[in-house]
Amino acid sequence: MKNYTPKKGFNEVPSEEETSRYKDFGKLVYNHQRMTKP
Amino acid sequence: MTPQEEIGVIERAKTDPTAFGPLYETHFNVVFGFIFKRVRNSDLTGELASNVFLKALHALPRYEVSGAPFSAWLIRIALNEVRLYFRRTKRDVMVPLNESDVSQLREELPDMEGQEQSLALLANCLGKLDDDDQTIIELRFFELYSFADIGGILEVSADNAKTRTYRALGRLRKLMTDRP
Repeated sequence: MKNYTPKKGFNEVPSEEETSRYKDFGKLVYNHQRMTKP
Repeated sequence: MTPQEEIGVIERAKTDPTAFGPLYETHFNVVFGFIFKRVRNSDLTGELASNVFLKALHALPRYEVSGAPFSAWLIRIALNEVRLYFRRTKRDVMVPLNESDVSQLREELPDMEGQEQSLALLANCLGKLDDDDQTIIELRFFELYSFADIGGILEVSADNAKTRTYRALGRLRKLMTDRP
């Protein structure tokens, strides 16, 4: 359930630097191939 | 990447997953931000974002280019992933709202002034709306998506997206004026 708290607001997101820590294209392709391989 | 180039990359990635890279790079931050705004936790967002791209890569061979941008298709998958997460965990989340978030929404409620428009009341009434109404108000008034993009995300026409938005707004207005 989502509640809203009045005030950083809704549109505040982590910095690009922090966001890029979660990027991992190699892992994505590996997982995809592992799941699609017969 | 131009829309035409993007279509070319999509077609290549349908048969070669490694060609999906440019799409991943281009859209990762948008998808990450979209999810973060709703779950307010970076690690959880990272996990859900990787699920979104994995599902997108699986479903890519069935993707057909339509009027809506590719990002709308990804956001639709992200929205479903967030909903699935909340349905599975039944967790509560507190989403912060500040004055700049609600400025567009206030313009749609011109007949409400003073106390009736206070941020606290607005936040309280938004919390009472159902998930569909909250989603469409967030997309339109907080994230400023066009009706065409909202239509692409929700798989409806732009006109239908507009109708749904103003119905949700009507329900919000009713909650704000009917309070005891």
